[in-house]
Amino acid sequence: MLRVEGIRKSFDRFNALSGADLHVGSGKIVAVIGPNGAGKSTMFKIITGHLKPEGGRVLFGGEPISSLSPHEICRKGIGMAFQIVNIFSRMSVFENVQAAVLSRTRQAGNIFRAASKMAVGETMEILASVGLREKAGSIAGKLSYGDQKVLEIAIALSTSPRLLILDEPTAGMSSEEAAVCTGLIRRLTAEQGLTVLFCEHNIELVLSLSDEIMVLQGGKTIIQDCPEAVCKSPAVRDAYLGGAA
Amino acid sequence: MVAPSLSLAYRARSLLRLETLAFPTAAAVLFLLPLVLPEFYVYFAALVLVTGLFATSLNLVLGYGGMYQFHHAVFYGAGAYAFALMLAKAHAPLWPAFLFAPLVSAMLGLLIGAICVRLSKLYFGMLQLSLGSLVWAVVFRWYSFTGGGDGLHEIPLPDAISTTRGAYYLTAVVVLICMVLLYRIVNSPFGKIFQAIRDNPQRSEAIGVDIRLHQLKGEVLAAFFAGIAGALYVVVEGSVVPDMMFWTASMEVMVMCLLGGWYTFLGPLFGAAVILGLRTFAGIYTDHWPLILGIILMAVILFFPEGVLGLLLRRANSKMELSTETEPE
Repeated sequence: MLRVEGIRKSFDRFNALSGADLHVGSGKIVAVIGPNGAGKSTMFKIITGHLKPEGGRVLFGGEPISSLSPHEICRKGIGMAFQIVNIFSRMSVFENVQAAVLSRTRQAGNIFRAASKMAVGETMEILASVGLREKAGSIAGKLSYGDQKVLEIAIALSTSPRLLILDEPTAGMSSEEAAVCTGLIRRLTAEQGLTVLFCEHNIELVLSLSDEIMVLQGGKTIIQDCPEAVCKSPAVRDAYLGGAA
Repeated sequence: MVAPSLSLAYRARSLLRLETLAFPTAAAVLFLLPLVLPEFYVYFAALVLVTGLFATSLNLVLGYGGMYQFHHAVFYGAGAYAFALMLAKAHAPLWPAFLFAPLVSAMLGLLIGAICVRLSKLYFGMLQLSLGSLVWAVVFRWYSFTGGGDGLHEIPLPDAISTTRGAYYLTAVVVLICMVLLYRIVNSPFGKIFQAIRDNPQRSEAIGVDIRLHQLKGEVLAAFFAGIAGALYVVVEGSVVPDMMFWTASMEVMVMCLLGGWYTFLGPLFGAAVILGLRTFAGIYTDHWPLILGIILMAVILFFPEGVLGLLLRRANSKMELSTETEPE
């Protein structure tokens, strides 16, 4: 479904990515791991069009997408939940999800109907599926941090993605919030058969959730394989433990 | 404590009751005003309505769209000149001339917007200011066609609207219709997505919104309604001058939005009434009325930056939230 081939990206003199590869098969859950600064978020931003690569290419469904803008990539079927909470904080929880539904159904330019009467059922259904139905009327910016992260996943889901990208979904959460969020991701992937690409520092979550793990270090791919193979890889041990193991 | 979804439904019901009542009440008040007011105040009310529509059209892009529309008066002036020239030079009938005005403004909005929306925030505003000033310079210099700095006066208007009360009634009807349309636009999916872009452009793109295209549509719509306000200005004043599309006019209308509250629908109309009132009535006693405006503005910025109506709305919302807590299920 998604193939990233030799992408490069630098910021001033710092090489964030220097020829990283990744492939995500349809229906798979793939985790990207690596130390801080390995280039995980940069790779996700390149896939979603928020950054342009200096080399290499990104193919989605066999079609090159690295020259497309973020909204075009979203319309191709890639939904994203960012690392730092990225919601419409002044709008209600309902309106956050509704905006994504209206955009997906190409109703964003409609000036003739009242928004309050549109996509209500579907929006409430999505909110119910992530457990935010009772908070539909709350202002998004006033939710707890954990709920804001869940809302962000709900927004990404509302675009009906073929590929859902989650950038550190449990980052900054308390252990209780992280457990709820992990359960949610597990349930959603099982119920909806989503293809998911995510990065996460919580190794337990990574091992329990992923079909494949890609390890990134210094902007390069060390390995992409099943969790068992990655755990046994000497290169990965070197990368994480500096050769001490 | 009731469930938040119930509180939402209650708030929506209250708002619906308010909306249903607002239109006939406003129409009745506007209809009755000329029957009780002296002629000068009828003229003043018409001017407030025209300027209020102009300010509300700016607020569509400034308040709801978050676009730094620094030179909105150019669309107001374009509408006024298009209408005046159609009547004075082409001797066109009233309604074709009246329809022509917003179309010219919308076309100008499309042209300027297509160039400017490639940029964002201050850069957008500065480029728009430059292009708008260019249009003003053409109007100001083209003496043979636009009347140059003198403008165009004694525009031939049909008898029915050449009196103060006739002009007022046409203005009131058109402004009321436009305000209803603008209200619907603000609350349509287009308006909601516009507000989403204002609040978070990156997230908007990530849900598939083409923000440049959306902003361009907003620009055209705002220019269209500013054009209608411009044509109505000619109806009320019977003349048009290039000053109405000079950059200072754009700043003045921005102040109206700021004063009234640019996150509120009626704030700009309120701001227009206050500033026109100050200019008209305080201006009788002193030439230094902008000083009073300056003091009021400083107070607004320091103590209630969301504007006068913004403040009132926030307080009303807080009260409504409290009352929903005691509402029986």
